[in-house]
Amino acid sequence: MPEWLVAVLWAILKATIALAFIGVNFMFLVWLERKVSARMQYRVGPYRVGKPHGWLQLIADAIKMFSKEDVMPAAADRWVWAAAPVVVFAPAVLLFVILPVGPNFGVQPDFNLGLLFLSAVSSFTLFGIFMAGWGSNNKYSLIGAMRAAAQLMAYEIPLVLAVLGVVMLAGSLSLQDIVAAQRTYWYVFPQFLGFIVFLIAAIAELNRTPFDLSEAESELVAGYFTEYSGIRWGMFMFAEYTNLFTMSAIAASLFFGGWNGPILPPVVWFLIKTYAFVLLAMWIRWTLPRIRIDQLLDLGWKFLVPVGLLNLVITGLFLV
Amino acid sequence: MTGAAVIFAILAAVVLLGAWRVVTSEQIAHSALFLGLTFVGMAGLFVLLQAPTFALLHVLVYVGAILTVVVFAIMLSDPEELRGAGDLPPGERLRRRLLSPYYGWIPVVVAGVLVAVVLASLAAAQLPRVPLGEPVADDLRAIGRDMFTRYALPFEVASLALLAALIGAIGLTRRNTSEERGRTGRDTAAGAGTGTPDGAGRNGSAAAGRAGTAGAAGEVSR
Repeated sequence: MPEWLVAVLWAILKATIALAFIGVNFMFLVWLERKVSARMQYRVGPYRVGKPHGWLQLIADAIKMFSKEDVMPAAADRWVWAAAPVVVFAPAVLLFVILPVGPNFGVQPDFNLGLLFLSAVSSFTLFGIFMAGWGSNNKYSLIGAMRAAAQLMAYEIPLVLAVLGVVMLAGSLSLQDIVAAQRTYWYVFPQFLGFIVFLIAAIAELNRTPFDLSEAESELVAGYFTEYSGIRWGMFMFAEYTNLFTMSAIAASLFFGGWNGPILPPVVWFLIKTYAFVLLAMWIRWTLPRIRIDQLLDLGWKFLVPVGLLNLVITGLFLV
Repeated sequence: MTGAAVIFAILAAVVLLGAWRVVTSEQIAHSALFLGLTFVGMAGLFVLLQAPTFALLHVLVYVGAILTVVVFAIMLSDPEELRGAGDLPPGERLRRRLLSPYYGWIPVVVAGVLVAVVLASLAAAQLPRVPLGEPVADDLRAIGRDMFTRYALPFEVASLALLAALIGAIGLTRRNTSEERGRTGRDTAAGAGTGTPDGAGRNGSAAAGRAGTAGAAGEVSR
């Protein structure tokens, strides 16, 4: 077999495994969110379908989602509206390329521009949201998309500033190198300020409560995906929960030593730390109420950006 | 034809088709999306030249910052003003367009001069020819070092220009809000230095959003 064919087949195999994991992870996270929210509200959550603890509920949900009618609004901008879920979904999947699952183990573990890739790819999400909001030809969708745009811009910069502190300590943009540099101590200790900024900005980037202004159901029905149903709506959810997983994995890798850990194999440590962050995000979502849009923008521009810059200055002083 | 040439042809077609549709689309939202397609195609060309750093920086600056601001401006605009020329036949539409100064012959002349300048300077610069598939200088460390030593002055000048644009944008939006507030008979320009009081509502938050947009562009492209 020629060399390029081997490379292509190898890439297809990796992509298949990653996509299979993403699918299973999505269903697990939806089930987990329903269970966690139920426990917090003194309920039991899905229980009847499948024993124990309604684990088949997610299969039932998936079948329901696939078999629902796909309704397109009459006034929609056909192509833009139809392509939007794909454009939202693609960056979420692409980010799996840089995740360091174990030492030299992952889709492309030694990608030396990993964090640059992260910020470049995540900027596409906004276009999917814009396409959904604009293409639906619905005022709630458009307002939701506008809020999402303002919010993504306000929180992208603190997020990058927080990541830069870690990059300065590790001296590399590769997530693999950053994790390997945390063998002796986790970066959350020297970068505590940066971690707080990252945590707030990441939850805002994920559009989760208390920052889910772009889909605030009490004011905007469902924001930019109001007009979507069936599998297209499912793809927005798919992207949302996949982003939750990748952002948690990146937080664990940047600040909590990624796959480093005693006794257990590295992959298990990676998963434990990632799902700990997923649980934290769910905990925050079901505990805090939603804040207002102007408070959200004020928090981003007037608090997180200065604190992120301060963190960079402090880190620089210590390195010099 | 080699594999690289085939990929180059596909990417070039994507870039040219996208650029063509940017200027011919009836709806400005479609123009913005095709502009995004063009940028992605150009990033692909950088990857083909084995310069992934430039590809990612290109996406980050052009898609992540500039196009984001364009999209935001479209969403803030009045949809009535964004309507296309309507149901006129293409020949008639073209004739009317060319006759009107602001949407017709002035942009054509300006674009022609710009293209001539770019082509003339390209011919004068005598850029080295790099064959497809050969690695070019693409090291983030080297780029960063050059930026702060050899090109420190141009870098600072560019930052100042962006800062001026940012302050200008804030100044424009500020003036509009105080005028509107004066028109409705409320206290004029009271919130100019202290930030908008909560009751001021939509105008204040829209201005903050717009100022924020310019800030994002400035920060990211630095």
